[in-house]
Amino acid sequence: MAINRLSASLIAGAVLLSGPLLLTSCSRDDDRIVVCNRYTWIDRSVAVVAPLDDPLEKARLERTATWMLDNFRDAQLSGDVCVRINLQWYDENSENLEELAGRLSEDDGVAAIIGPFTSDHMVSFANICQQNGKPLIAPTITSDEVIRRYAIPTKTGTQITRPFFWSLTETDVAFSEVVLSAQAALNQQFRLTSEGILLSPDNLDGQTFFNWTPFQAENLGVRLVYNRLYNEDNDFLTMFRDALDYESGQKHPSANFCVISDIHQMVDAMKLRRLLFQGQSEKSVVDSLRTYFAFSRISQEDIDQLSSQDRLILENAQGFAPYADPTTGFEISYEERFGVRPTLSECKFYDGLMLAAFAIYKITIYGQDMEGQDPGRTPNEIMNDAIYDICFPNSVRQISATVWRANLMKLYLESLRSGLFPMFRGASGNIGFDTETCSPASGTFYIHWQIVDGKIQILNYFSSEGNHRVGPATAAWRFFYDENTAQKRFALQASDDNTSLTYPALTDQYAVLVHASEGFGNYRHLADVLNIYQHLRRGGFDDDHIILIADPSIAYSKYNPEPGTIRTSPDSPDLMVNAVIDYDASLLTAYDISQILMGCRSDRLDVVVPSNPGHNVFLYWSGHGHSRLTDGTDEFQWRRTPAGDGFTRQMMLNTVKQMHDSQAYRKLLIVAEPCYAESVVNAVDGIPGVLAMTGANSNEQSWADHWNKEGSFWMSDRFSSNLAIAVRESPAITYRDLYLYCAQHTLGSHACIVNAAHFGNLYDSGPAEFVIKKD
Amino acid sequence: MNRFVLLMLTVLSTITLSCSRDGNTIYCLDPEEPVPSTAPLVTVIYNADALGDRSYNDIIYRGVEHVARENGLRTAQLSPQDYEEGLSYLKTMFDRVSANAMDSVRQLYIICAAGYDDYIRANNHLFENNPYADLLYLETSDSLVGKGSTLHLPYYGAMYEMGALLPVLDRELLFIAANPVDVTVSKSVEGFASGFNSDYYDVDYNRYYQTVWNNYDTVIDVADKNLRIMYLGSESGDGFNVPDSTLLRITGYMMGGMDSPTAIPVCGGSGYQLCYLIDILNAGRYAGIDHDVLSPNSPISCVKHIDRALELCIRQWLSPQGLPKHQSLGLADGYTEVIRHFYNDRDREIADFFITDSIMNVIRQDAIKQEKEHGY
Repeated sequence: MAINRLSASLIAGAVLLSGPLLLTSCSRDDDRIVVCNRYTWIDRSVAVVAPLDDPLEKARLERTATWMLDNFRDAQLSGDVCVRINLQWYDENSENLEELAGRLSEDDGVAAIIGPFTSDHMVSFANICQQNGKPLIAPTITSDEVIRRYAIPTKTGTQITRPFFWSLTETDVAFSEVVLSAQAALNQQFRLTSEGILLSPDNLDGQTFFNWTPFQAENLGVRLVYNRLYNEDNDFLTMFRDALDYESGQKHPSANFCVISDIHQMVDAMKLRRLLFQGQSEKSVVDSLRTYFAFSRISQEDIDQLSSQDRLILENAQGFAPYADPTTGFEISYEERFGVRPTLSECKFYDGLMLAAFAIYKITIYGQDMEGQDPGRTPNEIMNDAIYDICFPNSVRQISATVWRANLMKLYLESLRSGLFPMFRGASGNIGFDTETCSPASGTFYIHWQIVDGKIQILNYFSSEGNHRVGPATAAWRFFYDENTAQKRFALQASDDNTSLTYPALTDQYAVLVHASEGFGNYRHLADVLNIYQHLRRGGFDDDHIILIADPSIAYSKYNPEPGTIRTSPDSPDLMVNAVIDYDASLLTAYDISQILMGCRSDRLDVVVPSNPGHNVFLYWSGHGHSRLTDGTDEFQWRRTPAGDGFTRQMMLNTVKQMHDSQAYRKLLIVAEPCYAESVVNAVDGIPGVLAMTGANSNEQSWADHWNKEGSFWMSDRFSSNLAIAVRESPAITYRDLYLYCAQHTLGSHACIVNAAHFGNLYDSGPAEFVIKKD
Repeated sequence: MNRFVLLMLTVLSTITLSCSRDGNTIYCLDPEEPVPSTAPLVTVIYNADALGDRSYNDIIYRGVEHVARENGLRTAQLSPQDYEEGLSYLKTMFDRVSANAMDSVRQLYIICAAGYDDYIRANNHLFENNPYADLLYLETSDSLVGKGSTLHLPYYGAMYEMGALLPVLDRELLFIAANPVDVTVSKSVEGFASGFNSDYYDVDYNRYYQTVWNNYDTVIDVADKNLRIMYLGSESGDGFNVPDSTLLRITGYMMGGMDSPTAIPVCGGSGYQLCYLIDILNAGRYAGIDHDVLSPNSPISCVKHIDRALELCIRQWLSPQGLPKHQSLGLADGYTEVIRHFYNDRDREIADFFITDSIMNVIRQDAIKQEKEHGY
């Protein structure tokens, strides 16, 4: 039974002084024996939600937990108070996750939850824990979507919501870049632009690669020609076979990047590869076609369990995985202790436990109500604040000591007791979070591995931060488009001599604003369209000069936390105010949009753009896109119609060409938000008087912005948001500066400008001629 | 374990079983409750960012962990992120050793951080105040004045052996050395060049190439073997961490001629990065340095068994005799070694013919002799 600190000290002192004398004393019948502790023991619980149905993984996590908790116990023995962490284990693959999340998030006896370990499971958990801010420590969540949703606090005015989601691994955005790095080094050395093929699983983790790799490939000089998601219907092996068939017919070197989650996928792929290149030397095969596996869960134990034949097949297979910082020594200590290398899950789990333990220790030492903090905080808030306090150090000298082992952890806890919260490094490296956004891990390490003699050999280490030991891999998460590159790209696209272009006098201006998606999940598309609409209205446009095509049902959806209201961010004005919708998009087809632009009036389409050679026409399109790279068709998707039924590249060409031939416009500006939008708008290339801008090139996604936590939806798209900011803050902005602004601020995709050579001087004209009404 | 430590452990265990009386109440400490460990502690300090090299430093780490586990020791291994952090560790450590002279827990401090040589030699006297703390400084051939032991694993002999063997497999060699000033590097270059200039193979080697490889357009003559030596820096400490762009230029150079040379990279972290580039670019072959490399591009490795050497030292430290003042453990002692791995048929055929046990033995004995003649 625990006793208080003073009593413990007194008794211990008494024992020390009289102990030798009492060795000979005897007990009497009426004596009462009280067993005392030297330390005050505080019991706290932490829940672990992990894939325990996998016996190997279960054994790994359990032994890791035991090791960490032993170290934590030993480290505390220099103080008077000791925290005993009790773990509650739950299997994320068999539990009803929503029910479990609800139960644990309401349980004040559970200080924090570690896990689940997979992104798709984490969504179920995070949605619920978010409601009351239950601290959720995510060891291995790497989905860009999940981390952007939950880990980055929402800004409302100047207030930032308190973080609750503590992600210990960087998103796969950084991983994707590392995976491309080896091929990029080849390209640099041989001045190649090699082709690349990417296969990713159709889940949240795979989606990050699917979305980001094209963007990074372009920057690194790898031309991505094939980007597919595999699932049960279109399985990995079939797609890999297709990719090999394609590549074997090419004369240039190429690479395939396979995101996998199972060792057997690697075995199958390597078998196919060997079959295709039978009789050729390994060197010649490697020189012509490289296969890289992005395999986060690779483990020696899994390889050892394969048949000897399968192990042989894997010889020389190589790839990448997130891993521990090699300078912490954890990997070697672990291997020395358990006979195998730790997996990523174990390194991160160790750190997750350590983070929870340190935060609980801090609360135990300092009490729940610290000076300067809100006295009415809930237990969850107290725990989140404690995590925040220990991860954003207050010490002047920012030594980041490695404290995962008992002897050094003891020194760290002594610092904590003395009021210093120094930075610390755990088993996998720095336990650090981004200073601006609070939650996401600010640095993750990766290995380039190869299987040699049946063993995983580490060829090299990388990190998004880089240090003397590991190679840097720029974190695309914080990527800002390089201005020089943007300028060169702009100059290239606007390089043709277009001074001969002359335009008739401007007689009028019209705008067609298209909200092309449907469903509440696409709230942002309607918001962006209405945002442009309101901007036009402020610029002097009346409703007769704006054709607004939108689906207003989204505003009145039962999922909208503010029914009838649409905003692009939590603090933006209501964009539905005074909005006059000319067409309910649910009643139109993509072809109808073409007719409206061409001025083809009908009974159904009574509002169209009047054709006139003196009119400037502005077309803004927000919605989804398809591409030949992914779905087989280059088009702006029309609502939920199948691929090919949208506003296709051919339709764009026919529409604009007809408008040009019939002198339906003076100048035409097309601004398109959808993914792969460049692949549609490049149809206008060569048609005089037309300029097109897109948020993404032909190979990549465009991106959402402003996550609404209350309703769980995106409120705006990045490119549109940047566009609106630029024209609002600089009404006289030139096309050149507008393009550069969007290129620099639209993270994750490359803003494009098309047909600049056939439009006019972009350095001295700007979008004002389309968005500000001339008298 | 010395007698004093045993005595202290006995006293402590007696105390923890003890009780005190207050009237009819006897207070007893819970014997199941954990108590702070008094096991001897081995602390290792590395150069900045040294761990994670998959080679020398990682081998030290692994060796210390292994011997600690077998002997019930505690360990603390510190890999500072920069020079200043490492220096602050050292200062704190040396001050504590001096100040806590009465702390009877035995402690061994192993320093494998040559960058702090001046500080160590100026302050090792602080250990003299503490009978329970000892110092082992790697890798130097100059003993410490005052308290403290030193350990050195000379490379001359093993490099000689590799210099004699490698031209049999690859006739174009590129020795990439960090700088010409640091003794560990210059002695490696010297040993390798000496082995390279030996003539164990002249006669048979020519005959072999003419018989086995006579389908070649040009029969390579053994006299054509070439060794180029490239220095990455000119000052002491230079060349161990050069930028990737420099290493890319080197791999470009390696791939530029008719025959890609085999690289012998004695340049620390630069060497590990270079080997990585060679592997991913298929830019040629390389010799493993310090550890046994498993790579299709690496037919031979020159290995330092620093883990075994440290195991010996820690056992010596635990013994009543304690650590010797200085030890030099080289090829003759089995603490350095040349290891071959042949991944292709050509290498295997050549090895079967030339790198026989008897020839290897002759070369090794010569290498040992050479190492001794050079004062190791």
